[in-house]
Amino acid sequence: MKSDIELISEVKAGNRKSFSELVQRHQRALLRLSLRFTKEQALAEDIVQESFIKAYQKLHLFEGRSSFKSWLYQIALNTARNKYRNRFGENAPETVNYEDVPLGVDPGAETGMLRADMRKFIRAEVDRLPERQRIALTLRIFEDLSFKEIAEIMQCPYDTAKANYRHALLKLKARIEALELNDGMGSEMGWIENLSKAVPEVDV
Amino acid sequence: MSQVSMWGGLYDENWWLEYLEGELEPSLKEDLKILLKNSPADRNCLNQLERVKNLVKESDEEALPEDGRYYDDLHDRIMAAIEEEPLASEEKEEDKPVNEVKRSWTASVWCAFARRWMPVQPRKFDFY
Repeated sequence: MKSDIELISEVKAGNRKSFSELVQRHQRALLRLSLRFTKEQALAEDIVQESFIKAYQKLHLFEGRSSFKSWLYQIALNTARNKYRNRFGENAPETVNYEDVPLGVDPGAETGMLRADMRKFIRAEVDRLPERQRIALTLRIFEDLSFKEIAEIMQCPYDTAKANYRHALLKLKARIEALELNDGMGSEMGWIENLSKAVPEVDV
Repeated sequence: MSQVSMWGGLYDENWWLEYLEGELEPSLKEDLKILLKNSPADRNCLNQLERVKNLVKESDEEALPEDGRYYDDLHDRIMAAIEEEPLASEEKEEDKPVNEVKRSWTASVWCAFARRWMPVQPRKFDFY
């Protein structure tokens, strides 16, 4: 199997079909990344398509100092940011809408239910993080990228990428601990009540 | 230099986060491993960080389409759009740099001055 760099050289030499191979190789990962930030499949598809077109147009500028995947992610994040801004104008919401946590929970709620609520709470908290912290956290935890790759994608120094990730995780840790501490030393109902209070209401 | 953190552990959260992410130097990592065995507070801090990281990971819900045809369609759409684009290596004729020596205007002025005022042949003086 040819490497990305070999395929890029072929495209630069005029072989369009090699780009098709690059699209097949990276479209899934790029769609997943776009979905994380847009939460909307149609919008994510647009971002993927636009990112590949931009990558093709600017391929002569790709010098191979970072991996093609990092470069592509970088383009996709910038595209997503611009699209999001265009869509919502200056009033771009800080967070993406999510469903409210159900308030009436059966006292005998199963652990699965608690876990689902916790997942919802964490997703809401991740969405509330400042943009750069959210990107660093997403790329590290969900995309499993190294800090070097994250720094390349975010176009920032290595230590800045790490600091963004650290702030994000410590913030989430503090929020989760506060939620658990306030529940009256572990009573299930108290925990759930706190959870429903902690998740802010969002206009849908 | 060690520092006593707010919950009585020897190191603060940043150290343990570095440890968790595998970002510490090997020698320091070994030291912290020994510390972990002896300090319940530090062990607790590390466990808590690990737990939060796992909770965040578990909260992931992005479900990608599974159908292979979906990706074939997406690929075809992308390639159709790319067919309309000029090849990445193509350059328009008029964009190509022209190989001609460009002289700055100051150089041109100096050359004109020299041509006008400097004698072409140096004057020869015969002192003898």
